[in-house]
Amino acid sequence: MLTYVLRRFAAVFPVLIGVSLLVFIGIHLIPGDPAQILLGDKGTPQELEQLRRDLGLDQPIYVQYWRFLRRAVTGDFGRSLRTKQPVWHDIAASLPSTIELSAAAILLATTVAIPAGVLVAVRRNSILDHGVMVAVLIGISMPVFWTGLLLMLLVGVMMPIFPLSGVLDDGVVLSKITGMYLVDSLLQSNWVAFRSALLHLALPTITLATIPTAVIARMTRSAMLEVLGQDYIRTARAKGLAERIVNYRHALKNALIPVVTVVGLQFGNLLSGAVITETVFARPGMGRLAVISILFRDYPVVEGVVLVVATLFVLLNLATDLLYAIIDPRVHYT
Amino acid sequence: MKRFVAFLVIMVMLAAPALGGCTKSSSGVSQQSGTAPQGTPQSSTRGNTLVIGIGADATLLDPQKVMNNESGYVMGLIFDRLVHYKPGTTEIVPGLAERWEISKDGLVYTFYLRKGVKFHDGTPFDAKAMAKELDRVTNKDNPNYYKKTPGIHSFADETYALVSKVDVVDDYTIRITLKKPYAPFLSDLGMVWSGVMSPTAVEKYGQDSGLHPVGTGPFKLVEWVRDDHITLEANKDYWGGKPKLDKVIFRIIPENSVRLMKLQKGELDIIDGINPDDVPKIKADPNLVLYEEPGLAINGVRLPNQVPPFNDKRVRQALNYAVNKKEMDDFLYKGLAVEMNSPLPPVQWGYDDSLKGYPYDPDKAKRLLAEAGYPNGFQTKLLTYPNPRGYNPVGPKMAVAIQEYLKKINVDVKIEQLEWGAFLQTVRSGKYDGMALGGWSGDNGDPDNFLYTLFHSSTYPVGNTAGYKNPKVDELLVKARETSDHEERIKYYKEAQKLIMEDAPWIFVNSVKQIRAASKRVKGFQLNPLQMFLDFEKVYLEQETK
Repeated sequence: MLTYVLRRFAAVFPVLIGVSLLVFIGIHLIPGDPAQILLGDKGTPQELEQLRRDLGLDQPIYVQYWRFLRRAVTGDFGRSLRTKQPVWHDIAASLPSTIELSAAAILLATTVAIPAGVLVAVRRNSILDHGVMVAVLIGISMPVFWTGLLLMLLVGVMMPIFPLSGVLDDGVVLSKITGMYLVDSLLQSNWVAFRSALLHLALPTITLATIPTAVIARMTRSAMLEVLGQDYIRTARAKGLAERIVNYRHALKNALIPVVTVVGLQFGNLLSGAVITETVFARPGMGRLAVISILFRDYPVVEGVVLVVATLFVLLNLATDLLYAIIDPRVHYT
Repeated sequence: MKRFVAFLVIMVMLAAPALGGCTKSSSGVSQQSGTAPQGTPQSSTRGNTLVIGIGADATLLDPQKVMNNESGYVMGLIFDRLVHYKPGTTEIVPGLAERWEISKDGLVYTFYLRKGVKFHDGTPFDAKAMAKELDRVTNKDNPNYYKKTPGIHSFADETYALVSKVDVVDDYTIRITLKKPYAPFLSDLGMVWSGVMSPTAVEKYGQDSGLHPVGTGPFKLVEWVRDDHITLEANKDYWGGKPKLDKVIFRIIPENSVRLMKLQKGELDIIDGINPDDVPKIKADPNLVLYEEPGLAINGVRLPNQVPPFNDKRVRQALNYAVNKKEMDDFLYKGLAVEMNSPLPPVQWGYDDSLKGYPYDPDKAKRLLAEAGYPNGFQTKLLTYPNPRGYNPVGPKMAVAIQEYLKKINVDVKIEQLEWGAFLQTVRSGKYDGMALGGWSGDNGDPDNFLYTLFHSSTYPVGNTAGYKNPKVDELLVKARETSDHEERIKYYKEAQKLIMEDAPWIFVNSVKQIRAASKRVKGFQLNPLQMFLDFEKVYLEQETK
């Protein structure tokens, strides 16, 4: 098992190199020159050339990539073309917010979706089942920005319970420890900040959780249905076990494997962006940083974000795979 | 046991990214100062703090290092300039300089500086401090030369390009000598981009001066959380009078509709960036006030003057007659624009209001086309960008409208769209042979900024993307640059405007109004043509009566 884990860790690096190369080529292929964007409507051709030289953009692409790789190995991702700050600085400032939002969303999603999926699998073809599946269909079909704006309008404006955007109220004092407002306020027992952070987190979390909830619920239902049709379930019932024990101790546990896969993938999806939600709710997270940087052709930041996301995704996949080993004793890794 | 350990390992791995984000405590991202918290947003519990909603974050806050609008918004409150604009206009009035003299040959500017002014860090403002600031933008050997960090580009490149020397005459008198006469120099010095930074701060922070702005202005920086908010607090010793507000917060909210919702809810006091469609909603809301003013901007379609059939003046004029600008202003721009009768916007001094422009006359357009040899029209393309711009809030919809109008005179237009970065690159390459949307927002409130940049043949292809060439216009624009006699300059610009309108290098469409919306509690707030937030020591919030 240990060798398996080590091997998987070692495999991270080739993945990162491959991903970084693809993104590097990709973003350089997009028409539009960062120097041009920084100059906007102003600037002469000479100034443009000078700016490109200053930013190292006049080198051939393979030279630029090599320079980037050489520095990246030492942890130096260079400076943002937009803010002129070190890239890791900008990413580190924005990452906690994205993690907080994604974690909250996946937590909400699994808490709602798994019980819902189990419930309707057990009561298959009932009105409840059909109702939930329709809700799931709607959930998957609603574009995130629309859900967000709709929630804002209904909940935020018409019933002014929740704030419309941002992460904390203007007058709140909070020292930064992890950068995640909920966690930091808990750690400092700052209940005012905690309440403020929670209220600000509510609408974006619901918005972001909509699609994962739908996907996970559907997966749970179908996995449960498959398991419930197995012989050993019939045996368990024949033994006289209570329905509840049959459903949860025996059926659900076995149905969890595909569900865990989906949860892991969904969490990866959420981490890798939450872009639209962060933009609509004006949260300063990594997804929004990525979009701003792409529009600015801020190559160093885009590369940095992509590498961070790729690393997280790979680690998450590894965690998911290892989780199987815990849930299913049949699974062995060598 | 093994499984439990494995479970712990997994949890740690999942938590690792979170912990990784925590140890890097960065400057300015920790304490948030403030007073009482709020549950449901009530502006009165915010106390005497004004919150402004903007669409994007500032990039840097050192006036010599940056050019984008959002940075300018914030710097307008933190810094003063040698000269200021008269509130609501682009006329030059005293700022940090009480008065000045310009030599007859236009080369020597002598500024008599205001006494008793201090920077936010206590450093006194005087001729020596000003000289240090000027040295950092003109002297490449200065250890804090503003361009030391790679990639810095700002207006300082152009403003100070012609400075040949700076002399400290006495404690409060400074003399700047130029290499050639350049009349727009004063207007350049009035821009927020010419703000004066404390030399002590520059020495202390070096390359990081952009994160630690220290000026003489009515407000000073307290906190900056990237892409979230910037908090400023009042400079109680401000020479222009103690600010009436305690704090000003800039909140970054990318979506226009969200900003408006927050304004309506009372979470914001002023917002920038309004969809024209939302204007009726704002006007109908008794708690909001719509601020509007003619903008210092022009908007149109730039024609490739060197490419047939556009090289024939009659064709270009025909296109101008074919577009119904009034209809566009009423319907597409919801009444928030005025027709262009001149390459200058009406609010710019030097604007000639006697010019008639090109009224809507499709028959005349067809006649002109026939005269030029195109009785059955012709085919061409029109390049557009996808997003709204400051000078064109409806974005690509304008291209569709133009297409419709030109169809009526048998000019078949195919619309091509490129993302902004790509759009700029294409239009400024000088190789695009179709029409393209074009526009310009004034930087310094001087007619030279519009006319020379866009219509002097020497700025082709980057400024003069239309490839327009008229030697007489070139001559007039150069003469207007070289004399400091205000009246003489106006004369030259009036003549130049007439010629440019005649030649029709663009389809001149409209000049958009600048609009902002604010809560009715905001008083003393005034728009200015340069769209910056200025004279904020005068702004205050009327307290609600309970």
